[in-house]
Parts: sequence; structure tokens; C-alpha cells
Amino acid sequence: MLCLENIRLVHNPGTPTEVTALDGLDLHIPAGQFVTVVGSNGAGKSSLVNVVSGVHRPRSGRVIIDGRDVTRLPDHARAAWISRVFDNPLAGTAPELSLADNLALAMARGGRRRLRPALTRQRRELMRAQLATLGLGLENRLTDPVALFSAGQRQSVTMLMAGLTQPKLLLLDEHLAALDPRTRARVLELTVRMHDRLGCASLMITHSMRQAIDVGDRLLVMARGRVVFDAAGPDKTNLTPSDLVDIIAGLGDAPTDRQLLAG
Amino acid sequence: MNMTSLRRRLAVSVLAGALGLVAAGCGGSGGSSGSSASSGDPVKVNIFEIAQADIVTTVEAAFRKRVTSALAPRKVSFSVSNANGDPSLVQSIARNLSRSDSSLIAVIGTPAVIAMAQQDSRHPIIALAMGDPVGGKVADSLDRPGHNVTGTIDFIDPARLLDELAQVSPAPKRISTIYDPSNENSQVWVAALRKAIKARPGLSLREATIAGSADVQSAARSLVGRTDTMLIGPDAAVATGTAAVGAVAATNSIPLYLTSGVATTRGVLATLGPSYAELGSAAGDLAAKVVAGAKPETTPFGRPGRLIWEVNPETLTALHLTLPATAR
Amino acid sequence: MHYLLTDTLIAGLPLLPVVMGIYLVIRIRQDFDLTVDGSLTLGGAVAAVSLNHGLPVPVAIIAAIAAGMLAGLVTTTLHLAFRVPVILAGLVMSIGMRTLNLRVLGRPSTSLDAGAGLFGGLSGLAPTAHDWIVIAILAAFALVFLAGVSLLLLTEVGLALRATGVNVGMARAQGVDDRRSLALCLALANAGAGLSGALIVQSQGFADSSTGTGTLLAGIGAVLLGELVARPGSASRVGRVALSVLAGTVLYRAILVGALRAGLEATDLDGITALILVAAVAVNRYLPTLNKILPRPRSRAAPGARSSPPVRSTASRRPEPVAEEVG
Repeated sequence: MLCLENIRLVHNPGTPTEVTALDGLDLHIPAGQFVTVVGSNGAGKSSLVNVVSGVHRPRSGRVIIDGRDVTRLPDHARAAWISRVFDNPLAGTAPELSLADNLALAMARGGRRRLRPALTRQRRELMRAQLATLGLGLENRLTDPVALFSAGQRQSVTMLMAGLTQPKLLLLDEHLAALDPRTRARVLELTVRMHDRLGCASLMITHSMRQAIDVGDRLLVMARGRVVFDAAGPDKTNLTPSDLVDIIAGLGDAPTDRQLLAG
Repeated sequence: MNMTSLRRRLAVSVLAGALGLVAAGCGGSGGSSGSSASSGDPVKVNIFEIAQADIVTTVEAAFRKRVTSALAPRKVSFSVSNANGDPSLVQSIARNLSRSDSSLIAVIGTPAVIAMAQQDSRHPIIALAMGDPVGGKVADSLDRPGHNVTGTIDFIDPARLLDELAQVSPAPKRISTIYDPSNENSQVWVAALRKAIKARPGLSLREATIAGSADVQSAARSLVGRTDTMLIGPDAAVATGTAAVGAVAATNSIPLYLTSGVATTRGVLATLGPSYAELGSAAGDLAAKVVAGAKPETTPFGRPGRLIWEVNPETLTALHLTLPATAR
Repeated sequence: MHYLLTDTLIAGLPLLPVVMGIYLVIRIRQDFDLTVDGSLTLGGAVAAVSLNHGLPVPVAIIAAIAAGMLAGLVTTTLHLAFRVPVILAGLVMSIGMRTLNLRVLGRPSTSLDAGAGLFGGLSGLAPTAHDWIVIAILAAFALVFLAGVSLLLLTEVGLALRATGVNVGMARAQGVDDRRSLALCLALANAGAGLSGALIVQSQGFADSSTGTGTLLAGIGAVLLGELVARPGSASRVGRVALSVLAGTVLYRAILVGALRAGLEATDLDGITALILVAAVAVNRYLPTLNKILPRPRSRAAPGARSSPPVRSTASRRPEPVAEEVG
């Protein structure tokens, strides 16, 4: 479903600050697979996300989604197939717009936006039904500007928005990182539920090694712009966090404090 | 005398003569006040206009006609520069013209006259229908200008206008005017109007100011209910917005008099002013005199003669007024 | 007093379209578009020249709107193709358009032929009737434009536009091409300017090259005043937005007209504009503080001004997590 072929991403080419963020990366994710990704800072995780979503165009290589070569498409053109959830819980929603407007924006993702009303009674009913599944009481607050909500609520809403259309790929960029433990658990549960319901591929970057092992079907470790470790099935579930730390350290990289603490 | 010294003297005198001719030629083409060109040569006249406007066209045409006929059979060539109302263009045109080789420079528009006089003290400058040469510091007095600027003025004392208007039946009592305070000419005229009104008991004055022609409509509307006669002086910004003042005057049945421009705009009752064509011709006479050798320093400014009424018959019918005999 | 109302409306209503456009740019896109100064003049010039050539009024007005829209698209192109910041592109346009406008007019100013334009057939009416009919016609145009833009903002396209101003990263992630949104925004704003220019020229009877000067600044003043009065709060309350544009324009004009009637010189009006702007910004900034100090009526909750989520009485709801610091 998602294919990355020989991706090279170089920042500031030709200048003293030139850095190769992705170095000949190859990756294939079939539909329905939930992939977690860990790696130390600078390993290229964010670059991976940015190349897949279209924010950065690679120097060379191809990005193929569902058989379609999207390498040349900008990020907004890929939104039809990719739903992205950011690490900053406030980045996924428009603060001065109402909850209903945010959801309506997501509902129109991927299709041609037309001159028809964005908020109809039907859509509002749908929104309420969807929001009710969050269990946060947000279904009663459709007209409130999203700026009034807490970070956890906003990230939950962003997750919900991600599933409102039928994405081929859920792109989750450390989306649980800035949440408190209770909210984190809730949003993670929401993520897994959504993945199962949509039947899409999911790519989740996380700094929690525990999470990377427990969640999903397949685990990738990235270092120096490449995938250096790839485990699925029992190979994955039998891993421990210290195994991962060894793998990372063994490459000469250092796991971050966060990674060590999160376990 | 032997042949060599004769030949030498001949050579020297021929050389001297040639040099003398060259010198005379240089002096002539350089241009100076008090023309040194011989009386058969064509006369070059620069005309410098501040902006495009009907009034400018009228003055210019009359001036040209009179100069051409007064200087005949000499040929007169004119070259016109127009600043289109842009102050920076005014400066650069003035600079350019000060370097030209024309016999005189005719200027229309007070800012243009002032700029020209500042840049050039060589050429004779003829100001056509200027408002206030003394106030504009281009002349010491109207009778004895004292510098290189002379010409004709279009200033008619508002007192004269009020006397004329007093003969309208019914006579105006609450007079109003609209003007742009940043316009020197307008300031002078309104000050004279204030003075004239003060000297006539029973008359009052209401003023409305504008910062630009976009304000004209609001200014006119602000006078409604507070005036029975509108009298507009020589103000270019208000002139641009005459249509707006006319519309307000027409709707509210207020007699509207202008001191410049045309009376054909809807709502205008009449224009009262000098004949600009006459002022242009008079300036043409002065120009011809200067070309013939008169000095601008001692040539008095020409004043307006008669007051001309130009009446809009539709407005007159709508307002049910009786105008004095001189107006008909 | 009655004059204050009619004078304000006659001077203010033609400006509603351009103020709506200015609102779109400064609030929806958080940017400044100086093109409107030139577009307003251009719209007026195009309308005047069209009418004087005998074209029917609707054609003249549509031509004015189209001219404004084109100008907005040129500014957009300058920004997108040459990466000139919108502010600079707008400044360049407003300067370049001075030449264009003079060319269109053919001379620094031109009067409308008698009887031409929207209001040409109104001569001969009593003053009050005349004024109110003019006001009705102006109001019709202005309000139709306002309603049209408001409805547009409520569509999917309009929602996308609103989103790009608030959070462009998120909008892009939702598939919104923000370059198209910018083009739409500037095209709309300058179309409004063109319409305003056409209305002004027909109302005052002449077009000249300085009509549009100072439009953006006056519009910003009107927007700030309007927000003070109508408090739209979020960009979702489109009805409130339209109301604040209407209120702001009318109030702003009323202050200027009142000042003129009170005898202030027209040249002081710029100073008054500056004072209005400063006062509006200051009050906007300090209103929350003022609200705390001054006693508030008990039963009224200020719309949209809640600072913490209200407690809901739904028993079955799980307790909310501790609200974290909202960015």
C-alpha cells in the first residue's frame, strides 16, 4: 500500500550545514498493517513522516501510495489518502474555528470543495454520533471554538477527524507524546480502534519502546536515515525495551532520556 | 604698407569678425532676458501647465492666439509641458525649462509659477491668470514686479462678487463656501471673503473644508440646512468635485455660484468671474511686449476687467430667482 | 440629527463591500493588502468611463468588479510566483495602479455625464425622498455583496478559506490548497473594492485618481471598531462577522460626519481616524481587564467570552481530565 523506494532526503544541500536526513530508505507497508517506528534523535523519523506526507520532497526516490506515484504531489494534494496527526496536540485543529467547523473541514478532505454549505443538519448529526464515541461530552459543544478545549480533547478530536474520511494511511507522528497518561491511554485506544475499523495502513512514530513493542503488527528501528531493524509477529512481541536500547546503542546512537524513561 | 602686413590685418579682421559672429550666435542661442535674437528669427515660447483642465485650455488657446498675431509676421513656436498635477513633475519640468533656449516661458497654475520662478531667474516668465503673485513671492508688487515674472492675475475680490450677488432677488444672506485649506490661493480668497462678509451686516459665512476631492460630497452635504447660497472660490480640488456639489445644490434647491469653471454642470446656477480668455489674451500682449524688449521687472500685472456671468438656464428655472440685469 | 443619519449612510454604505474585503484579508488571512487603494480607484474609473461611453449601468458595475478582481489576482501572482510578501506586493500594486488609473480615466478627474449611473434618474425629487432612495439603492448593493460573501464563507470553499488563516498547517493536512485560498481571498477583497469604487463614483458624480487613497487604513479602523461593537469572537460566527463589518463602517463614518458637522476641519479628520484606531485597539486589549473591574449584570453570559469550559450536568459522562494549559 505504501511504498518508499530508495528515498534520499538532504537538507541544505551544498552548504556547510548539509545533512542527509534519509539515506536510501526502502520501505513497504501493506494495507491493514500497523507499523511502529522508534529511533534516537536525528535518526530520520520526522523526515520519514514529512516525505510520506509530502511536506518535503526527496532528492531522489519515489513515494507510492496505493499504486499511485505521489512523489511530485504537495502535501495538500495527498490529503485524500493520508490522514496525519501531529505531535503538537494543538496543531491538528484550527483554534478560532468551532468544533463543528473543524470536523466539517475534515469531512471535505480529499474531495473537491464546492460551494455547498459546509455544515448541514445531516453532517451535524454525524458529527454528534462520532463525538459521542469519544465519551468526552464534546457532542454537546459543536459551536464552541476549539481554542477552549484542553490539549487532550483537541488531540482526540484530531484523531477523530483523521478517521472521518477513508484514508489509505494513518500517519501518526509522536501523537501521544505531549499528553498526560490517562489521555494518552484513551487516544491510543482510539487509534487502534480506528485502524481496525478503517482497514488502512498505519505508521506510528513513538518514543516509547514499550508502546512500540506492544502496539501494532510490525516494528521498525531507524538510525542515520535508514531502517536498521525490522521485526513482525512473535519476533516483535518477544522483544523487550532493553533489547531495543541495545540495538540503538549498538549502532553508536544514544537512546534519548525520554526513550529510557518511557521504557 | 607691404602685402604681408595687409594680408595679416585682413586675416586678423576676418578672424575677429568670425569670432564676433560666433560670439553673437552663442549669446543669441543661449537666451537671455532682453532678447538678442535679431527681429527676423522665430520666437520659441515654452508653455508650462500645472494640470489638465478646461480652464487651462481656454487660457492657453487665447494666449497662443494673441501672441501669434501680436508678433506676426515673425513665426512663433510653442512647446507645451504638463505636470498632470504631480508635484515632483512640476519641479523637474521647471528645472528642464530653466535650461531651455526659449525667449520666454508662459506658466499656468500657481505652484508651477512658483517652481519656475525658483528655478529660473533668467528667462522672462509670464504667469497666466495667477491668483496672487505677491503672496506667492514671485513679485514685489503688482505694479512693479521687480523680478523676471509678470503676467495677468485672475483675482477678483470677493467683495465685488458679493455686490453682484446682492442684486439677485431674493438676495443671499447665509453664504457658505467649500475649500481646501492646504491650497494657498484658496486661503487667500476665503480670507478676503470673510473680510467682505464682515463688512456687510446681515450676511453670514459658513465654511466647509476638504482634504481632497473625495471629501467634496460630504462637505457639501454638511452645509445643507445651514446656508441659502453656496459660493465656491478658485479651488482645484473642489473644482474636481463640482458634480458632487452641484448634485447636493440641485437636490436641496440651493443657488450655487462658482468663480471658475463652467456653468453647465447640473446644479450650478452660474459662474462669476473674469473672462479667462481675456486674461489669456492680455498675457499674450505682455508676452509680445517682453519679446520686443520690455523688462518684466517693470511691466505691471494685468488685472481682470469685467465680471462675466455664465448662467445655467435649467438651474435658473428650477430655482425661481431673478438675476440682475448684468447677468442676462 | 437627521442629517447625521443620512449623511453617514450615503457616505458609508458604498464602503461596505471594500470593508468586508479588508476584513477577509486582515482577520481571515492575518495579512494586509494595500491593493485595495488602487482597486477602488480603478473600479470607479472603469465605471465612470463605461457609463460615459453609454454602457448600461449593470455592465459598468460588473466591469468595475471584474477590474478589481483582476488586480487582486495580480497581487496574488506577485506573491506566489515571485515570493514577494503580500504587503509589499500590495504596495507595489497600489503605486503602479496610479498610472493605470490615470490612463483609464484619461485625465486626473472626469465627471459623470448628467443622468448617467444608478442615481441619474433621481433629479427632481424632494431632498428627503432623494436621499432615502439613494440610501436604499446603495444599501441594496452593499448588503447583497455582504450576504454573498457571508454565504460563501459558510460553504466548504469558504470554510477552507477561513481555516488557512487560522492554522495553515492543519488546513493543508486537510487537503486545502492555501495558494488557491489566498487567490480567492485577494480576488474577493479587491472585487469588493471595485464595487465600492463604482458605487462612490455614481453617488458623488465624478471619478478621480485620488478616490481610493487611504482606503485600507480607513477599512482597518472600521473593522476594529466593528469588532468592538459586535464582538464576533471566532471566525465561525459568520453572521456576527457581517454585522461587525456593517456596524464598524457605519460607526466610523458617523464619527467623521459628526466631526465635520461640529465644525472640525476636513484636514483634522486624519487625526481623528488615528485616534479612533488607537482607541479601538486599546479598548480591545483592555476590555477583559475592564470587565473584571466593572460590575457585570448577573444573568447575562457574554457570548463566546468564556475562559473555562462550563460544567455540564450530564450524569453519565465520564469526568474530564484536568484541563491542561491551552496554547
